[in-house]
Amino acid sequence: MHVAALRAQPTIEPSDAELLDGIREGEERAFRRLYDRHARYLAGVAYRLLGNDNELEDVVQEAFLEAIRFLHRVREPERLRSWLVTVTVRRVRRRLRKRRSRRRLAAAVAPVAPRVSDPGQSADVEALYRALDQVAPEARIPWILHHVQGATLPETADVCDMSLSTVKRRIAHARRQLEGRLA
Amino acid sequence: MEELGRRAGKELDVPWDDLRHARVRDRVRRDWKDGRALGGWRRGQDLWRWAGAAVVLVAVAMAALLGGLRTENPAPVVTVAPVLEPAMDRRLGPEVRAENALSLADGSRVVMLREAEVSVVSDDSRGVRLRHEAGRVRYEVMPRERTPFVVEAGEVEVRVVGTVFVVDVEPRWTTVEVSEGRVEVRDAEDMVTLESGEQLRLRPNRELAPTDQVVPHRAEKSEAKPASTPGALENVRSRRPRSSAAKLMARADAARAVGDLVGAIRALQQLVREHPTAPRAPQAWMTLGRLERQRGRPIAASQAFRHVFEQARSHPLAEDAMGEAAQALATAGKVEEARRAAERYLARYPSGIHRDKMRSLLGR
Repeated sequence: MHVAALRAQPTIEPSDAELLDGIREGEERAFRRLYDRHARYLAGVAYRLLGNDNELEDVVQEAFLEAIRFLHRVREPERLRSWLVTVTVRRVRRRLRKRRSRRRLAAAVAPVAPRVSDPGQSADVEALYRALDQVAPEARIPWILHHVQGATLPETADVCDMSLSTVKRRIAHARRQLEGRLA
Repeated sequence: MEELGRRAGKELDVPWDDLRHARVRDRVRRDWKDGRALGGWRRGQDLWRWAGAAVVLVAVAMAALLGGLRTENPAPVVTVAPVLEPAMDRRLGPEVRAENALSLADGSRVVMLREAEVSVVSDDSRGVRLRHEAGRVRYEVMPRERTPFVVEAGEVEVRVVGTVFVVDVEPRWTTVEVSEGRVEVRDAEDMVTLESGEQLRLRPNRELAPTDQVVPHRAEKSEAKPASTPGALENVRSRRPRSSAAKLMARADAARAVGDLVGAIRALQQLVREHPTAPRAPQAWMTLGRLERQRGRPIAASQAFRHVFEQARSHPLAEDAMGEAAQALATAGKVEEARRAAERYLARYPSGIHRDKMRSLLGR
């Protein structure tokens, strides 16, 4: 029995640009590959920003839907991941703002409980995220992207859609607040 | 403060397993196909499509009013299953189980077992035709006298008379296992009949002799029927694993939750040993690496991380694994090996998430 090309050329990975073209043509396989390539990374970014996984799936889902919707805006396909992170950050920012407004209304808010590999580190990390929860999203996001995610300052400015000086100012602001709360 | 942030970045364990990954992918795909992600470039096209559809609908309604049409069957539906292994299926409530199975008009059932995507091409008086895109699915087909029940899986079709069988579409294999009854597996050139207890495993991009991949899939049981053409098939004869990959991963998670590192490591080692090509294997290696690092065994950790990127270079965890392997080697005092690993990382991921750490390993 000759079983032809159930999966064509598995060793040749199409570029993001090719996958974007495929998605524009409505190809599901292109969508799957693009999603598989970037979703875990975006989930990691979103999780570090959110600090818990209550809204993680929703954020990744929304980010991808928004990305698909605005694919025509992608000018540099080779920088697709960075653009996807920008979209994810935007979705997280909305979620964090809602979370804060809910807290102001004294509504029940799920406790922040980030999951860590090493149980010995969990107390410190939990304390950090409890403190971060008191920091405004505009300062919290750049601080986490820079210090937890490990992004450089220009990268942080890029994905936050801010100038470098604004990012520096906000990170410094977050730092002051965190120091006050963790002292 | 910055040090605490760095530690958090290193220790945060992102809860994004294969299950979640596939579940969100299916949701996005469904919304995309439903048009909920549309905008901009497609909106214009869709207006025209809707206008065309409206014209067709009006024409159909007119024809029906004139007595020329009688619709007998519902329109085909598309279903995307959540990702569940049988073991998890039992653990979850009945509502979840119900969502996980599709019932057809004749009482046949399509049970999604793992990362499954099945769409209904047609389900009418002429028979049932399904398209099996991916994952593992059990088909429980009611006895049929005249109308066919066909599953399209990759380049082959599985035709049924009345039976229970499983189709598993993976990147490396497409497998058909028959539990009861008989099915015919066809492609454009040939046809193979499988009976109860037999399994056909198809390798993509490879020319096969007509039935040379047919094996009894319950070979360890004495009542299993012999293969259609027994021959040099030992290399594909498979013993059933004692536990599924999902079950072992769940066991490892449960052990980790109570701080039982050794129990978690044992479960993960069993997973990678018994299911080396399972979609969960890279994640299992990754977690093994982290647990070994946590136990203070950096060499074992680096070996586990190496498995991730050596076995699945395009896996989303490969980059992280490569960076972690280099750091584990450095922790173990293997300076030269760590430097080589860091150089490999930077060559492959010049702007990767571990680039700063790799540069620091290289003293840059």
